[in-house]
Amino acid sequence: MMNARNTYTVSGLIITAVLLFGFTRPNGNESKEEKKSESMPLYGNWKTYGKKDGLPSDKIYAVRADGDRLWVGTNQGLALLEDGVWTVYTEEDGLAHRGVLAIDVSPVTGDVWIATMSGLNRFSGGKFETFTQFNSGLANDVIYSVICDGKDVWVATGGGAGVLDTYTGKWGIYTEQNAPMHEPWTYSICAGGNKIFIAAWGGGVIEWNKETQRFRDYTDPDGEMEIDLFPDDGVVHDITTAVSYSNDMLWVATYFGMSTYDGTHWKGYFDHDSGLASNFINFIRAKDGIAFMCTDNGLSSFNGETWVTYKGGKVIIDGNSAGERSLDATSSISHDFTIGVDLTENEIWVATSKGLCRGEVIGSTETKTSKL
Amino acid sequence: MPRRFSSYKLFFIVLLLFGCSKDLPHEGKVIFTRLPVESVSGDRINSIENKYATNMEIAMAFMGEKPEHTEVLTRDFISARAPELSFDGSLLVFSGLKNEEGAWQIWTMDLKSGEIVQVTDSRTNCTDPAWLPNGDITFSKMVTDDHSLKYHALFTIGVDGCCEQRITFQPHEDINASVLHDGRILVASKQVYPESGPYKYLALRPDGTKAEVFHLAHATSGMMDKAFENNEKVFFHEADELTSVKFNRPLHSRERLLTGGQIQVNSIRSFDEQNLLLSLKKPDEKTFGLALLSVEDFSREKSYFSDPEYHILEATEVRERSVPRKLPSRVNSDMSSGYLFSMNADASDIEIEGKTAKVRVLGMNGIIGETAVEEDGSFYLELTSDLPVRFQTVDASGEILRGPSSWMWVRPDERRGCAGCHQDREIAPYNVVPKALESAPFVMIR
Amino acid sequence: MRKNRLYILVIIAFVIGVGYSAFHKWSVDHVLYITGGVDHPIGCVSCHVYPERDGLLANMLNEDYLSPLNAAVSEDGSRLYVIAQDADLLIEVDLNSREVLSNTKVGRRPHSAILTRDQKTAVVTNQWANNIYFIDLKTKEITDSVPVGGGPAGMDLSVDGNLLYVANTYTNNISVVDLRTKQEIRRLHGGNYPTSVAASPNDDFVFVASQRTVPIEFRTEPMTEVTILNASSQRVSERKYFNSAHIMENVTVSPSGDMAVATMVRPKNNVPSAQIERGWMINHGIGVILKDGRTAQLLLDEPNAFYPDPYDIVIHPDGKRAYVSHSGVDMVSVVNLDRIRSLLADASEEELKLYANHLGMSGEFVVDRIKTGSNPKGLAMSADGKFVYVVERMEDRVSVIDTDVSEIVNTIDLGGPSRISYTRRGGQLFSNAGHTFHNQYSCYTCHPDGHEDGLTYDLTGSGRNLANVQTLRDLYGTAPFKWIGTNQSVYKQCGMRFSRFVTRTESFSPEDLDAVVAYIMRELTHPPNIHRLPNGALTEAQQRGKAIYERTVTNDGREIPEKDRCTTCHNGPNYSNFQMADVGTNKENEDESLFDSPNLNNIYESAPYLHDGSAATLEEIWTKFNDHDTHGYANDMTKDQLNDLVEYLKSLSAERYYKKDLNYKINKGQL
Repeated sequence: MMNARNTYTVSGLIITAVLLFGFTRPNGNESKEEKKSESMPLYGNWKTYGKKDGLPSDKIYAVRADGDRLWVGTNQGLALLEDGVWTVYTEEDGLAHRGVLAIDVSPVTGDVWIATMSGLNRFSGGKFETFTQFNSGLANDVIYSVICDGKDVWVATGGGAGVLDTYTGKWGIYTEQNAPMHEPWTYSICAGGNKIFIAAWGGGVIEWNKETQRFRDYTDPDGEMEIDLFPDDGVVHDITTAVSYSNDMLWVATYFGMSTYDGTHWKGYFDHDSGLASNFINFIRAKDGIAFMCTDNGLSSFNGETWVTYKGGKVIIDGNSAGERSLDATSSISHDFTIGVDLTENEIWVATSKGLCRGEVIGSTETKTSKL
Repeated sequence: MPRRFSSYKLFFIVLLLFGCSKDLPHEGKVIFTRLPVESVSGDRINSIENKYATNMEIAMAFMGEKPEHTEVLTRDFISARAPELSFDGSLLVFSGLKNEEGAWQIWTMDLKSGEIVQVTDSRTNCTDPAWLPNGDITFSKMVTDDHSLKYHALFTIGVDGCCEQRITFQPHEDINASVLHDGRILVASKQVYPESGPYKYLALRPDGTKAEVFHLAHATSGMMDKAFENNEKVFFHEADELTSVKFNRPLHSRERLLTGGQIQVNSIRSFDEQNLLLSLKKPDEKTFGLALLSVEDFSREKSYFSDPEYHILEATEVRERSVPRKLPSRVNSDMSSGYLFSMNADASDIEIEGKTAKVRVLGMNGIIGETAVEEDGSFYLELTSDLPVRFQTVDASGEILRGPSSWMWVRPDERRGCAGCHQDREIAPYNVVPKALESAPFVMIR
Repeated sequence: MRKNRLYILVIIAFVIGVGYSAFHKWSVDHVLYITGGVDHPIGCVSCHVYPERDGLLANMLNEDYLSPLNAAVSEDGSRLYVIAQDADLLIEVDLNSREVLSNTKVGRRPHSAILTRDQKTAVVTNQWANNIYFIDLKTKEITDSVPVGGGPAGMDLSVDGNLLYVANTYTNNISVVDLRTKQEIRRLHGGNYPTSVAASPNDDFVFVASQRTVPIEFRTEPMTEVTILNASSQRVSERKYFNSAHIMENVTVSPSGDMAVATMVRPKNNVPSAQIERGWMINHGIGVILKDGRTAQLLLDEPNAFYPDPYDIVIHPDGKRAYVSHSGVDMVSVVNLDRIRSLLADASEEELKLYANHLGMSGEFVVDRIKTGSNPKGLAMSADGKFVYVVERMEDRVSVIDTDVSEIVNTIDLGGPSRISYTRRGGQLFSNAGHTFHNQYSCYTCHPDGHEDGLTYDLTGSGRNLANVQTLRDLYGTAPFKWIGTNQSVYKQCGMRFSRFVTRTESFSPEDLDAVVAYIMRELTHPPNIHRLPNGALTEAQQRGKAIYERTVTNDGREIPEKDRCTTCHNGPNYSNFQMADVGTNKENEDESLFDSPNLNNIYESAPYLHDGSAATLEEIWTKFNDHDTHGYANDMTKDQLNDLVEYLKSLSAERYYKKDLNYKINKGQL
C-alpha cells in the first residue's frame, strides 16, 4: 500500500514540476508574492500576566481575542480580561473542565466556544452550557480544538472530529470509520476556502469540502517518519498538530516542521533551513497572511518570505539565512515553550507554559535594525 | 357560554328550574331556633352550655308574618336547635333532645312529609350538624379522653346513621362546623389541654385530613359561631361583632362590619349569596330577632322579624343552594399510621438563634420520641394515626428551640407536609427535594 | 302452525334475550375494565365516536373552530388583527363596528401577528410551517415568506422598525430578520422553548422568554431563561434564569424601559405532593427583570385562590398598570406596577426569595380581577391605553376591557361555529382549572399545548416513584397509560383516582370526563417533525440510524436476542408494543416496577427521558442508564452509531400523520 502511494506521489511530483515550471503563475499569486515581500511587524514591550495578576494559573493553554475582550484558557480554568479586569471561570461556574485547551468566538452570535479536557462549553450571555460525549453527540470529551464556521461548530477531539449544527442541534462525527483518517485522534481544525481542514494524528490533513460534501486527505507523500525525503512534496509529516487558514493559504504544523499549501503547492519549513524556531510546533495561527508558530523553543512568525522568531530573550529575523539578524530586546516572552497565540490590530497575546504574554507592535523588520 | 345554548335547551332549563322549585315545600319560609326569652338572658346566649339549653324549639315562619303565625316543627322534643337545610332544601338536620335521660342526638326532618328520623345514637351529646356535599352529615359530639377531659370532637355520619367516624383528634373544643364552597369543613376550635387557648377556625377535609388554621380569632373574642360563606367572604361573629374575612386570604383580611355595643349579633346564616340572615339584638329590643341584610350594605336592613317572647336564632331560608365540592378521600382505613414531613424545621416566623438538630414528638402523655433532622432541616415521620401530637425542635445541646407546636394529627395513610415550624401560613413551600425523603420515614408509632 | 310460530318467536326472543344479556354483561365488563372499575356511566359513543378524528359521525359531531390565540391592534385603534390558530387565519376586525372585515389564510398553525411601523404590513409567525409571512394589509396578499427556525412564535420589532426578532420555539433559537431585505441575518441560541419577544423602547435590550427549563441536574430546581439581547449588536448579552419557574409564555417591557415583566408558572415538582392546600403543587405569577439587573418573582395567587396559566401581559402606556390574562381561570388581573416598583426597590435578596413563594403578596399589588370568557390568551393594548383586547380562545371571541373602569364593555364575535361540540367542551375543561382544588392548576398547566412540561413530579408524596410528565399528543391507540401502565384508558387516567391524587377535589362528572377525553384523543397532535426532511424521507444519518434501530446482530456479528432489539418493544406506527418491560431503569429507592414502552413519535420534543426524567437527553439513555444492555443491546455501538441512532429516533413520526401533513401542504397551497 505504501509503495503504491509512493509511486503515485512520484508521478504526482513530476506532474507538479511540469506545472510549476511549464506555466507562469496566475496574477493572483503574483500579488500574493508582492504581499509576502511586505515587512513583518515586530512585537515588543512584552508584559507577562500570571497568577499574580488574577489568572487562575501560569500554565496557559489557549488565548483568543474577542474585540475588547480576551479569553484565556489555562490548566486551572478559563479567564476573561475585560475592561482591565480578570474574571475566572471554573467548574463551579459551569465550565466543563478546568483544563481549557482551545477557545473560539462565533463572529455571528458572539457565543464563546470552549474546548476543555472533559467536554465542550458554549459560553453565551454569561452562562455555560456543557456538551459531553454522554449528553450529546460530541465524539469525545477531550477536545483539542474548536472553531466556529457560520452556524456550525467544529471540534477536534480524541475520538474524531465533530460538527454541531447550532440551528438543528444535529451532531456529525468523523473518524477513521467514515473519513480518510489514520485514527480518530484529531488535534486541530480550521475553516477556509469553503473547506474544513482537520489535523489528524498520523493522518496528515483531512479536508472536508463543504460544497461537494466529500473528504480528501493530505498525507506525507514520502511516508518517512524521521526525515522529509522529498522537499515540498506535500505535508512534511503525518503527525499534524495544528492547521490554520488565511489569505488562501493553509498552514500546517507538525512536531517535525511546518508546511504551507496554497491549494496547489505544498512547501515545507524546518528549523534547520528556515527561521522556524523549532520543528516541534504546538500551535499555529495565521492572520492576514502572516502565520505565528508556537513551538517548544519560541514563537516564530512568517509571511512567506520573512521570518521573525522570539526566543531566548532575542528577536531573530530571517534565522538560518544569509541575512539573519538578531535584535536585542528590552523585554521578551516569559517562556519559550509557547502553546497558543492570538492577535489584535496592534498587539499579540502568547500563551506559554509560564504565563500569558502581551506584546505590542513597536516597529517592523524594515524600521528596526538594531535594538527593540 | 350561555349564548352557545340553543333556545330549546334554555327552555328546558327554565322549565326544569320552575319544576324543581314547585317541588320544594315551604320555599321562602325561614326556619330558625327559638328560645323563650325567660330561659336565658341575651348576654349569655353564646355559650357552650346554651347549646344544650332546654325549651328551645325549631320553628318556621315567613319573614314578613307576625310571630303568632310561627309554626313549631319540633313539638315532640324537649329541646331542639341548630337547624340546617340540605342543599336541595328538602331535608332539615338538627340537634335535639327527645327525652330527659337521653343525650342530644342528630335528627333529620323531611320538610314535605314532616317525618323525623334519628341519625345518631350516642350516649353523649351531639350538636351543630352540617350537611356535607356528599349527603353525609358532620356534627360535634362530646368525647372523654384518656385524661378524663371532656370536649367536643368533630364527627361525620351517613344520613341513615351509618358509618359514624371521628375526624378531629385534638384536645380541642371543635364546634359550630359549616361547610365551605371548596368542600372543606370550617370548624371553630379551641384548645383545652394542656391549657386553654383562644378560638380559631380550622379548615379540614371531610375525612379529617389536612386540617389547618383558616382564621385566628380576635384576641378578645369568645366562642366563634358557625360561619357563613358566600364564595367571596366568610362571615361570622366574634365578640358580638359581625366580622368577615375574604375567603381567598382569610388570615389577613379581617373586616368588622357591625360593631358591638349598639347591635349584638348572635348567628349568621345564609339567605342567598347577596344577603345575610342575621340573628341580632338591637339596643332597644329585649330579644334577638332576624334581620335580612345585604352583604354590600349592612346599614340597610331589608326586613326584620322578631318575637317579644322568644330569641330568634340560627335562621335559614328554605331554598336550594349550590352544592360545595365533593372532596375525594385518601384515608385508608386499613392502615393505622400516617406520614408527616417538614421541609425545613428551621423555616419559621419565630426568629431564634440556633439550628435544629432534632425534632421531638409529644403526645398527650409526654414524649413519644425524637429523631435527628437532616442537614437541610427536613424530617420525615411515620406516626400513629388519629393521635394528637405536638412538636418541639431541639438543638444539638438539647435546648428547646421552638415549640411545643399546636396539636395536630394524621389520619390513616394520610401524608402531611409542613413548610416549616411556625412558618408563615401564606408561604408556599420552596421547590426543593427534602433530604429526609431520600430515605424511609422514621417510625414513631406509639 | 301458529303454535310453531309461537315457539319460533319464543326461541328468537330467548336467543335475543340471552344474546343481549351476554352482550350486556360483556359490555359492562368491558366498561369496567376500561374505566378501571369505577362506576362511570360510559356509553359506546364515549370511546367509539367522540374521540374519533375522522369519519362521518366525527365530522357531524365536531366543528371547525377558530381558536384565536393572539392579536395585534393598529396604531390608530381602528383595526384588530387576530390569529386564529386552528383555522390558520389572520382575522381583520373593525373595532368601531366590532365586525370581522376579512379572513386571510396564512401558514400552518399561526402563532402571532405584528404590524410593521408603517402599519401597512402584518407579519405572521407560522409555528408549524417554520416561517413568517408578510401580508399586505391593503390587498390581504401574502407578499413574502421568510424561513426561520423551528416553531416561530412570538416576535417584536426593533425600535427603528428595521429588524424583527422571532422566538423559534422548537429549535430553541431567536431569528433576527432584516425587514428591509426580508432576510434572516442571524440566529441566536435562546432558552428552552423560547416563545415571546419584547424589545425595550429604549432600544437597548430585547427580552426573549422561554417556556421550559434549561437542562438541569436531576431533581434540582427548574430554571427558565429569559434571554437578553443587546439591541445594537443583536447578540446575547445575558441569560437570566428564573429559578423554580417555567412556562414564561409572554414578556413585555414597561414604556419607560425600567422593567421587563413575564408571565410564569412556579411548579413545586420537587416537593412531595402531600397536599394541594397552601400552594403546595403549582403557583402562578410574574417574573420581573429590573433595570439594575435584579430579578424578582411575584405570585398573582392568593392563599385560597389560584390564578393559573398566566398567558399574556400588556402594560398601559402610563406604565402604572399591567394586565395579565389567566387562561386557566378565565380572568384578567390588573396589576399596580408602581406598587411593585416600590416593593422591589429596596428588597433584599432574602425578601425577594420570600416574595416568590408568598401567596399573600398579591394583595399588595393586584388591584382588580376581571372575569372573561373561556380561556383568555393574547392581550392587545390600544395605543391610547383606553382598551385592552382579550382573545378568548375557547370562545372564538374577543372581549374589550375599558381600562378606565376595569370592566368588559364589549365583545367581538370572530365568527366561529355557534355550537359547542362535545370536544370543544372538553377543550374548555382541559384548559380550565375549575376541576382542581382552589383552581390551582389546569390540565394545560402540566400539559401546555397538550404536550408536557418537561418536569418530574413526586405525585406519591413519598420522595420516590417519581413521574416524568408525558405528552398527551397523539394518544389515540396508545393505551395503556401512565409509566407503570396501570391505566387502561384515559377515562381511568383522568377519573376518580386522578382526583384523589392530582386534582384533589371533586372528580369530573361523567359527561365532563367524556368531553375531556374526547378533546385529548381527538384534538391534541404533535407538530410536524422538524427533524424529518420536507418530503418525509430520511437523511443519510437517519438511514444509518434506522439500520441500527432495526439490527439483529451486534457489530461483531453475534445475534442480538430478540428481547434486546429496539424493534421488539418499539414497533408499529407508534413505535411501541404497549407492553410492560424492565429496562433496568428502576432506581434503588423505588418500588420495583415494569414500565410501559413509551411511543416514540416526536420523541425529540420530550426531554428529559425515562420514567423519572433522569436522562437529560436521548444520548444519556444509553450513555448513562444502560450499563448492562438492559435497555436494548447498545454498548457495542460506536459513538457515531449512537449519534445515527439518535438522529433516527428524532425523526420518528407516525406515517399517517406525516402523510396527512404532506397532503395538507399540497391542498392548502402553502408558500
